Amino acid sequence: MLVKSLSLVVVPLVSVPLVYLLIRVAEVDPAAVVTEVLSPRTGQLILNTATLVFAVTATALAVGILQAYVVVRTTVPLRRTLTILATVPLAVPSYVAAYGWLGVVPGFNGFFPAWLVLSVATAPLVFLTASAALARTSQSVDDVAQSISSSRVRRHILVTWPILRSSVWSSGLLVALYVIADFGAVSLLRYDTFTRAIFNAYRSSFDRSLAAILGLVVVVLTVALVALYRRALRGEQSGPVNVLRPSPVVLRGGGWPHAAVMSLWAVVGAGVPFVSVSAWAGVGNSTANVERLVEATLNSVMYGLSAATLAVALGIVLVVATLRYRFAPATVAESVSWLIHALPALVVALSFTFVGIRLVPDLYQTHLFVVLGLVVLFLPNAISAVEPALRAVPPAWHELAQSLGMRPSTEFVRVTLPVITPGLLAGWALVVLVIVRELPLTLLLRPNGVDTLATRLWTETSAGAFAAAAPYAVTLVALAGIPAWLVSRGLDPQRKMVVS
Amino acid sequence: MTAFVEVKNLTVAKGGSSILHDVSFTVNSGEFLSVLGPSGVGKTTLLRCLAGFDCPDSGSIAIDGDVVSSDARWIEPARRGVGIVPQDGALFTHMTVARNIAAGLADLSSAQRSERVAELVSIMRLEGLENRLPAELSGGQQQRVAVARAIAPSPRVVLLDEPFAALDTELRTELRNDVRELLRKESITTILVTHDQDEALSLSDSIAVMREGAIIQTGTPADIYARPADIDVALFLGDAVIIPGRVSDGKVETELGALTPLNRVRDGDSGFAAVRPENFYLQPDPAGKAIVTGRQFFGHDVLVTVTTPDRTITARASGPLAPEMGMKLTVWVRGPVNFYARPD
Repeated sequence: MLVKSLSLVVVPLVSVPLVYLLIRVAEVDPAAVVTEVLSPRTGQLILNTATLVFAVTATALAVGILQAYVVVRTTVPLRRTLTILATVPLAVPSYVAAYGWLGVVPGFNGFFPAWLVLSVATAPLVFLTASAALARTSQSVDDVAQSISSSRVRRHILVTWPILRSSVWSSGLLVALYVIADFGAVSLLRYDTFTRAIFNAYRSSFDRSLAAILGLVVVVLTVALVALYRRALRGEQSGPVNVLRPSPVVLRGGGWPHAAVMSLWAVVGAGVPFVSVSAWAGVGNSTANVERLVEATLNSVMYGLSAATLAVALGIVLVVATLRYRFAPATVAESVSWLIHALPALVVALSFTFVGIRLVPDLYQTHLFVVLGLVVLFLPNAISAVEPALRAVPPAWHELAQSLGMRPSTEFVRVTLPVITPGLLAGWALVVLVIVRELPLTLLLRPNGVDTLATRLWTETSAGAFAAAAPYAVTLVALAGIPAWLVSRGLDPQRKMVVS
Repeated sequence: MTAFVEVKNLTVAKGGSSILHDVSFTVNSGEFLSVLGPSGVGKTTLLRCLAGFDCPDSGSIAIDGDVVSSDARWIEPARRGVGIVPQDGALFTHMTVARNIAAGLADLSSAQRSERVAELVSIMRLEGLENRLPAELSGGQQQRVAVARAIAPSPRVVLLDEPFAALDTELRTELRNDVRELLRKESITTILVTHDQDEALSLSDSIAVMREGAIIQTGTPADIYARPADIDVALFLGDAVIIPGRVSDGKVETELGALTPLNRVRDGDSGFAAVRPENFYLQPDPAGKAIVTGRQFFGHDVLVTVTTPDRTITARASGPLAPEMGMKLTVWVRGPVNFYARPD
């Protein structure tokens, strides 16, 4: 079976990071690990990372949930504008925001800047899940709560919290993983977390075991977080989707104060980097080396197109093998790739350099190797684009086509593919644009002398060359802005739902 | 008896269209009132005004002498002493059955609370399910919990918003009877909103028929069934065959003979008589002009479709004696009928 043999190819590919980790664990001197893990430096790194993770997660949850509540459940004016403002930071990769701040506030370094930039970058993740959850608030449940209690807090505990609970956990986890994995912003803002330390260890010595040990610590932290999340969501069930919603809560002052506070967050958080990037672009464009910009853009787009196409193709293979044939290796490959998705890209990149140098030196530092690394990193994005499309094709059609004499491959081309194509294209485009923003893996794996938009921006900003970096930042925001625009387009959180 | 719930001149308009228009009625203490009408006539809005979820534009609502809603006064829902059972039950999905039932008992000590919960669990036949989550219950069990939760704080009034509509027939009858018994036992004043005439006729002490935002008739179930205010009400309350007629000498002259009117009529009026299917008498008659063209067997009785020279009528006949397909008949009307004059 073609699908089955193809899905077998994916297994070794997605296993690279796991194999690397296992070899590392087997190889290192336990005494060295203990010394390194218990060293005051590692202790400081753990403390720094944990403080940042905790502060950013708390801030993003508070901001995202309040924004979602105001937009979904109240009479706030300018609802569409506020929704767009709440999602706009999605368009700005965290390292671009860091660059923007550094461009206007020299010496914007340390904890507070890292906290601010990452909180702004992650609050939209909370906002999106929380507003989807709040849209499920049911009028009848709210009615019952009103007839039971006149305390607003008690009513929120009865009605709002149960609805929000799972989205608080899931988006909180997403934010925490984002902060642990973030490399670009913390390294530009010079706040020492694990990813920054790993990168420095990797760059500054020929012995890469220190980077590997630190990488292992991050993996342990990540796995612990995921386990915590699984535990917290046990027994969680989703409520009905089509509900009659309660009438919106009337805000004091016509809701203008709320609208003003929400805009202020967006203006400070996303506005400053935007203004800074455009201001520097004014300076930088005159001195820009157009040839280099075009080259970097082409490289970014090329990596994006090829890796996304390959990832979507492999995604189709895996999903078909799991959905239609219940093929166990494909299910394993899917789960492994989700696990890898939770790991910081930097650690995945380390594993690829390791495997590249040791096992396939001919491939190491080639375009193909970068593309393979990107595929492993973004396979889950492709799977989540492919799976809903494929699930929408009734299994009965597959059987029906066979009874009409079509072979499975003929059936796929003539029946399934035409049905899933629109969903597939949209998903593919999103994966392309997500890959364009990728920084750490490309930075480590790229062939010598090859630059993408992201790596150039990072190099120039690290060197303090803000004007030179500006054209890359503008191009990146323009490209990365497309998925954010798609997300917020047609997003009216109070759009009336069908009531049966 | 004194009016326990008193609704006066209630008017609600939303977005320029009138939803409730000058609605007034009273409910006695311990009485079970059904507000009956097709969907979209404002029944739910009326209920929401009573509960305090919606605010009327004018008019007043008083419960046990306290004005809870008027131009001058507004009592919030939690302080009205009103329990509500919505159509979907609206259980708190994160709470067990016992905690759902206890949700409105925050003022009681924990011992009193568990005693009351145990009492309701037993009356609503929910034993053994106390620690289940709503998702682990059947639809009927969920509605039982919703009723128990509404009644636990001993409210002054319970509002039922079509709580039985989503259940299948057998469950519905059983649950209706249990709820009725519980309400009677606790002698709680109840207002049920429904579009199901069987439900209203079988459960209620009195019925208010609603149409287009207004109450057009109130009375006991027997009253309303026997003397509907107009043809629409007659048709809504049950099957009826409408036959044109003309009044002369106090009798309604129709194609089926001279019928005795139940209501007051005026000589010379023309209009329609409404005949219930059970009021037809089908006499086998080889020379008859009517013929049996359809037959639906229900065991206890049979619905017979009869084609007369003028129209097709549906008549109810008792099982063993019902005429067979193709049989020729003469159709008679037994007993008095309601006559509705055509407005001049």
